[in-house]
Amino acid sequence: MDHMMIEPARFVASVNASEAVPASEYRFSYVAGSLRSKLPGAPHATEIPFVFDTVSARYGKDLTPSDERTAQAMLSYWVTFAKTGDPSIGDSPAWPRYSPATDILMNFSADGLVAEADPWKARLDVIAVYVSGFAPTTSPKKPIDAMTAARLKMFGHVS
Amino acid sequence: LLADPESFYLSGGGWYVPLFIGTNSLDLGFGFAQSKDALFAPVGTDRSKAVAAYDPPGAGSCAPSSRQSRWTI
Repeated sequence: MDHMMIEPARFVASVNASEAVPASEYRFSYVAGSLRSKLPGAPHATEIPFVFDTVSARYGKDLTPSDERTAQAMLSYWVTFAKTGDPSIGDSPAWPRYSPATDILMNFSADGLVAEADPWKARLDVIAVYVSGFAPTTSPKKPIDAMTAARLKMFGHVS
Repeated sequence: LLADPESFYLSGGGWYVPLFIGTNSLDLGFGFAQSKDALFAPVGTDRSKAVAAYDPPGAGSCAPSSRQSRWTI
């Protein structure tokens, strides 16, 4: 799991952030109230009905107020990101940009939304060392062109 | 695509756009290890760090979940 999905996502966020590209990382650890006694975590793709706020159709009579709140929050964050390039919105907990130095992500947990340093840092760091053996060793880059610079400016990015 | 993705991105051809990425706490993983030794073997000399992170003393035995027939990290 960490090897195949979770550390690679953190790696991509880290590479982008290191190249001054705004990056936001999340961990979806929320399990619908009706499934908590059965699932020790959030399986792959279970975030989808929350992202699109279709949880009422997905969970029906088993839907809980917490499920609804989580779905509404996630939809708002996702839409805000699509509009602005930054998921942070209004009065909701601020979502700091990802940085390898702080390693902060937004954790959608059973306890609510928590912007925190990755709680799995220790184990992901081990995996990162292991998988780095497969990474390309060179990364020639070309300068950011004018159009890309304009786009980044539009999204509020300051290099 | 006009080139294979790896070459394209390595040559700097990717777009610089804000990134939004994440995973789930019980996300996909395919495990084939049938013992702890096999589980931690790939990390080589970092085995002690891996054990400390995944199977710390006193936290109970690292074992496959009921949903998995093989171990994975």
